[in-house]
Amino acid sequence: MPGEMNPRERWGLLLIDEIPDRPPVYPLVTAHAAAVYGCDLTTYVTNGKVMAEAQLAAQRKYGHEGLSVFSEVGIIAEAMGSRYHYRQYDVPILDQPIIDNHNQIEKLQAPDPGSTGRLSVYLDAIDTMYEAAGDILPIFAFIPCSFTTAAGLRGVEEFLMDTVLAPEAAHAILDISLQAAIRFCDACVLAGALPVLVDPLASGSVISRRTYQEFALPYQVKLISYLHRYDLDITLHVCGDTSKMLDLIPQSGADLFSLDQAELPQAVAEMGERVRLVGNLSPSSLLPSSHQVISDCTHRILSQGIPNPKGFVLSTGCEVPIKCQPEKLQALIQVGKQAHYDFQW
Amino acid sequence: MIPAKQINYRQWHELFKEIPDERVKNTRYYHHLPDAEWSQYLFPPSTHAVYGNRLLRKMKFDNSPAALRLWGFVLSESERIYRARQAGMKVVAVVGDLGAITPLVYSFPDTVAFYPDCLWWTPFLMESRVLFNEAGQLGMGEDCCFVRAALGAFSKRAYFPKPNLIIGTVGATCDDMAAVMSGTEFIGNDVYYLELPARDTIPGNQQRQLSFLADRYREVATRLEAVTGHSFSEDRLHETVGKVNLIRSLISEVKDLAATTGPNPMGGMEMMNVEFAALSYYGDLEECTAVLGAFRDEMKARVEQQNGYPDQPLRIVWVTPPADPILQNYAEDLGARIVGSEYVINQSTPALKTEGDVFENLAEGQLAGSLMGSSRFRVDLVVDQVRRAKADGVIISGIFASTHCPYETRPIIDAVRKEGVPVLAFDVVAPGKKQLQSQINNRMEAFIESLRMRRSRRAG
Repeated sequence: MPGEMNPRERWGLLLIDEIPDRPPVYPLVTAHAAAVYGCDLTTYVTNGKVMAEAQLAAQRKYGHEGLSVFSEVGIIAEAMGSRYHYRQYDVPILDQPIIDNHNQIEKLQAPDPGSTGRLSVYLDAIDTMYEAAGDILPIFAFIPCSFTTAAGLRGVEEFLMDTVLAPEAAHAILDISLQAAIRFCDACVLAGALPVLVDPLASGSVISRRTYQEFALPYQVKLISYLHRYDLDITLHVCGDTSKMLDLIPQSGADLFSLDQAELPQAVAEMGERVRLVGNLSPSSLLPSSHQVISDCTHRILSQGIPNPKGFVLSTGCEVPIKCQPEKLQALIQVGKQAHYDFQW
Repeated sequence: MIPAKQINYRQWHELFKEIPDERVKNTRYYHHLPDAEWSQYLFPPSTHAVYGNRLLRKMKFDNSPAALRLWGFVLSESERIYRARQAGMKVVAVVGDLGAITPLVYSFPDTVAFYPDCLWWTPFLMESRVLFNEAGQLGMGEDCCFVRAALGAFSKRAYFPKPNLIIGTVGATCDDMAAVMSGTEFIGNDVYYLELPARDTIPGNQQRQLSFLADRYREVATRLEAVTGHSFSEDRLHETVGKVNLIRSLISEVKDLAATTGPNPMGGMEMMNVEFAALSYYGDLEECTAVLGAFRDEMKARVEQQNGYPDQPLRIVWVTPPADPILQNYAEDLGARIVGSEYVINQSTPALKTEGDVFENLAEGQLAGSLMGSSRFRVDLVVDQVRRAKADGVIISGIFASTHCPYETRPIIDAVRKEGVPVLAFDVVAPGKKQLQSQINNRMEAFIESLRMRRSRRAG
């Protein structure tokens, strides 16, 4: 229809503090794309072309407004030597961390994204998507932050213990994880994607506010600062409960915050003048809920998010479940696309 | 001095790391506004590629920080116009051969102009048919030239803010752009029309034309008073004309440097970015002057030190701006360099008079426009470029479906050949037409090869 904005245009206006016709509708469709495309998860996370085709197929099916390049949060840790177990019906999980003892830390190196582990899967996927639809759809590459990668290098429990018992070692692992993240971000940017930084282990569901301040936030700041030097608008996504640390999030420098289990009105109050918000229909509601519940929840989220002074993106709180019923996701997107700003050109 | 070369977007991404933080932070536009992070613009092409300007991944760029600043300034224009409005400034769209009127617009406080015609570049930079398809849905298809992208942009409302005033031309102006203006009005925008007379070379008629056009400009000034809330000031216009003349002289200097007999100091696209600054100063007259000044200094130093691109000996005058920027890169890759140009924007080229009636001086500038009269005028502009630049060849990149190109191309070819200089003429094709594109590439390759052989023969 003449006059209708496309996703690239809508996002573009949002990111320069302009009001688009309506908020972008961008549920986090990641591995669910494999289900839409009809491939197993092992293929999806190991073949960039397949990941791209699956993402494009899912986007054609649902009409959401962005492509997501993501396998799992261990992608960098694996490239640095940790071993991951691949599964046909779910994303890879950590099998064997590379760091058994602190003496191994100094041997770690930031991996070459073009030739190490599965990092090139991302690059292939981005490249294919960019060629196919980069003029219309923004492409988001989900890059794990240092804290999450460090946990993948050391093992979650061991790394959390390090933050208490061996903080210097923890910082050493975080430092090299940061270098790896920077290098990987550079490669993804050159391939055509905007980094979305994900830090699920830095969640209030896992660590304390104090641990976040000391071990996660400083590295988020450094990574975002590096990317800001290139004038890139950065989304930070933290899974789980972040309600106790919402006031700290703007200190990271993130331009957008993708929130999961926190109340949107609280987030608007805490950071709405400085940060665009992305959220936050509970992914679990895409499994057993009725359409009415999804519709009601989406309307509620829109009414809470649209007034955010810095802007709003309708999304899910975390990844759309792999086994999400398509009609449930369609209900979310349909309601989202009926929203509008009082847009006067 | 760093050896001059053309590098790709990956190389610029790496090289950018060496640019000091302070320089990145302090390269800003709208200096009169309090410092805001959004006003920084010194960023590499990879940044703009991420946001959808896909062609940048295939292009080559000059490796000097001054050229990076130029590209950053050009590519941030759209955001800058939005920021202008956010900061409470008035935004005026000047549509259809109106580079001559922008000094008047900028003479009003807190007022900036932009040139929607230049949106024709966007589909090529994005390798996208979005704006063309949008124009097509509004009835303007491939029978109109690439400026129809501007209609798509007006319809989409996502490429520039709603202008406080749209000034469009009727009369002796580009027919395609006139159609775009009609379409723009049809979808709900008010257009203030300004009549341009056809250039008349009969001496007695010239003063009558000047007076007529000067009166139209007085009416525009009245309109701008209403829009901006400020009274027209002749002093301010004088001051603005002084700044504009400085920009025009910088452009002229850079063009002369491009035509140096030593190694090629700059890329054709950088030169084109410089030339197009004359139209609306990319939305910030002061910063534009600084950007062009820095670029001129860099290129001057290169020429003095014989620092240029290797392996580009063949001297080309380029006629009509290539909507597809990759074409000039392609010619350069084949061993050519752009030493002269006629980009149909001659109305914004000559220095404006500073004595006498201010409006008649502006009118005189307008009447130097490339397209305002007989084709002979433009033919002479091209021949002048060919002679001055000692060109080996001329490339005419016509605009498919443009109304003026078919009438001009033949006389230009004939006149240039009469000078003993070979000519290649083709029509630029829209993004996505890969087979037609490859045909153009083949023709350029053959043409430049023939120039190379001709030069060898002449050298004995």
